[in-house]
Formats: sequence, C-alpha cells, structure tokens
Amino acid sequence: MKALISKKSIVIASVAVLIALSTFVSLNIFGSQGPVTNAANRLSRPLNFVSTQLAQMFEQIYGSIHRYETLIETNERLLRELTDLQLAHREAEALRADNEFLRAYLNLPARREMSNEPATVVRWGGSNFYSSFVINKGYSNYWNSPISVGDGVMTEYGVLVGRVTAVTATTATVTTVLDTSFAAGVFVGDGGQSITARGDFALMGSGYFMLDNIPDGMPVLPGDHVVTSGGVGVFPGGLLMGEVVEVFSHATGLGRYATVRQFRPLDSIHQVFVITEFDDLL
Amino acid sequence: MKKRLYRRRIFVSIILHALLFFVIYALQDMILIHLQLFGLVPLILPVAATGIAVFEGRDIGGIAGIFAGIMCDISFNAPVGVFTVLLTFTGLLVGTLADTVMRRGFLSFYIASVVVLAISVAAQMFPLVFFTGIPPQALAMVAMRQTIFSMLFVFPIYPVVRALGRRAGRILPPGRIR
Repeated sequence: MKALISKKSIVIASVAVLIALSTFVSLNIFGSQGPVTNAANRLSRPLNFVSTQLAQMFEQIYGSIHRYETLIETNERLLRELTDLQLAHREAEALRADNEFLRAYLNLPARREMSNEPATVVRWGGSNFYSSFVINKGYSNYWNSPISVGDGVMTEYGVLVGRVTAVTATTATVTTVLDTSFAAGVFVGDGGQSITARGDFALMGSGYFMLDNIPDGMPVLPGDHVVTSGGVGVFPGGLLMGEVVEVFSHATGLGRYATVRQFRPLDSIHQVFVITEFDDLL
Repeated sequence: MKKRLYRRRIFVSIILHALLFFVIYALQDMILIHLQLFGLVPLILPVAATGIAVFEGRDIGGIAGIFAGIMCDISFNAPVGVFTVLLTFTGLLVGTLADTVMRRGFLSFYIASVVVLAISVAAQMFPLVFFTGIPPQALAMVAMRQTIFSMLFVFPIYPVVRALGRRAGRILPPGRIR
C-alpha cells in the first residue's frame, strides 16, 4: 500500500480524476463534452478522415470485384421499382395539388419543408456494446450548422438511421437505431396504429432492431415497411426505418415482437442528413 | 555532454511510447473497426497500457493509463472520463505490483492484461445493466468473446513493450521518473 501511495502517483491519479471531473461538469452544467474530449476529438479528426477514406476505397475495390453480379440483379429490380414509382408519383402530384388547394380553401397553415444539414460519417464507435458514429458537423457558428442534441439523422434516401446524442463544436455523436437506448414510435405496413421500435442488444450485432409489444389484432407481416409515426416532435412522420423480417410470439405467450432489418447495412453509410427542423402538422 | 545525451534518450523514449500508442490506436480504431473479425472490435489499448506498467513500473504505467484511457473513451465515441480514470488506476496498481511483488515477464503481463480487460469489459457493461436494465447474461457472451479476442493481442504487443521497458530501464531504474 505504501508503495502505491506516493506524491507522484497521487499527482497522476489526480490528473485523471480532474479530466473526468471537467467532463462531468461540462456535460451536466454546460451541456458540452468538455475541453479534453473536444481537444482529443480534434486531434483524432485527420486520422479518422484518412482511415474512413481508405476504408471507402477498399470497399469500392472489393465491391467492383465481388459484387458485380449482385449489382446487376439489384439494378434490374430497381428499374422495375422505378417504373412503378413513376406511376405512383404522377398520382401523388395530382393529390398534392388537391391537398394544397384544400389547405388554402380551409385556411390551414402551409406545411414547411424539413430543414436538413448534410454531414459525413467520420468515425464508427469501437464499442461492442453500443452502436454509434461521429459526423463532421457540430454546433459551431463558424461552420454555420445548427445541429443540436435530439435531432434525427437520415440517409440521402430518407431512411432514419439514428439520433444526435452529443455535440461538440465540430463533431456530433449519433446513436443509431440499433443501440439499446434508441426508441421511436412507428407505423407498420398499412396499419394506422403506432407501436414502438427499439434497439435490442441481442439483435444489434446482426444489424436488426425490434418492434416490441405488437397488439394482438395488429397485422404485421414479413416485408412490411416500418415508418416513423411522428406527431410527438421527436422525428418527422413518414421516415422509413426498415422492413420486417420475422414475427415471433414472446416465450411467455403474451404478445408478439418482430425483428426489423435496415434497408442498407449501417456500416456502409458515408453521407447523412441531420434533420434540424421539421413541421409535424398533419 | 552527459546531461544532453540523457535528455536525448528521454526524448527518444517518449517518442517511441507515443508511436506505440498511435499505432495501437490506429489498429483498434481505424483498421479492426472496419474488419470486425469474429463480429467484434478488440480492446487493445488497455493491453498496451498494462504492458508499459508491467515493464516500466508505477509512475510511467499511470501516465500510459491516462493516455490509453483518453484514446479508449474517444474510440467508443464517449466523453473522456470513465476509461481515463480506470486505466490510470489499473496502470498505477499493476505498476506498483511489478515494482514490488510481481516478476516482470510474459506470464505476469498476460495475467495482468486478462484482469485489466475483464475490468474494462465490466465498466462497459455497467451502464447497460444498471441503467438500461439489460440482464447481464445477455451481455456475457459478447463480453467473454471481446476479452478472449483482445487477449490474442498480448502476444504481438509483448516484445514491443518489453523492448521499450528495457530501453527505459537503461535510462532510469524501473518505476522511477525524475
């Protein structure tokens, strides 16, 4: 014990405790991650940028060699879907015009568009117990990015991938939909009843999340799309989250749950959009 | 002249230690994170900090723990704090044992690494068990696999930390900084 406690070891331990305390105080009083976290993030930024670029380059090379056949099949399927969607789009345009006319007729306020902030993924979390990534935008006025904690994050295709849980001047940490702390109200398929989608630790490694406590009468089938329900001000309604893979009954026999797969593996995402403002008026 | 040479050796030693941590951080946070061998990312920084503590003693082990801890916290996208304190204290403790009762060698390094990795994984599991309410049994398999996978890195890190320790030992006796 005497060998452990000396002037030098007390100084070293105090430095570590002071660093942790400064972060704790910054987090709880100022809402920022503290000077040490900010400095360490800034120092690691160039390294992470290089590693992300290299990883992307290797993925592209691997993709062009091994995924050619799959890409051809996907391309054909997408062309078919595009034709269907073009038809649906024409119908939707007509409906939109009707909707605008009726809103004006009833003096309803005009719907605002979502405000998005484009960002790039600079680092994935190295923990096997949490699912998160860091983006290259923070709250700094210099970069003119109004990102704040709680903002939803989606891909360029409008698929919700997570929520901002911490912001520094130049970066923001996004907790993904797979993380155990994530939960959102969703609609499934054509049903109008909202249920909760949440991250589950057992499914996290496979890239799935869960729809829990599905009501007895609610039809949920494999292949159904899961979209955010909106209406509570956390996420805008209608954002795609994934598709149902399988539906199970709980071991207790009470209620059902379903596993949901993201449309695209999360680790292949490079470009995201932070939803900084939206209007949830129906 | 002698003083100048001594300072130069100290400077080179600091650079070599910084290089070791840089390489291990790059390996853990930039390469293995993308490869995800066995579906996991190993935890190597605590192994390196423990190695430094075993071969260079309490004070340098504690300092290595601070830097390894900051890097670990950053790697997990978490605010700097938990691992900074944890690895500093394990560095000080392992270093003290190495200075007093433990024989400096592969076996002691291996055992100390296993203990530090087990403490690290417990620290990662703690908020999930106590704040999120996930049963520890559900986390145990990932925790065990992560520890076993990380332990494999003790073998390539051992010769490096031993060489660094021997080099530092020629400048200063183990466990002492002036």
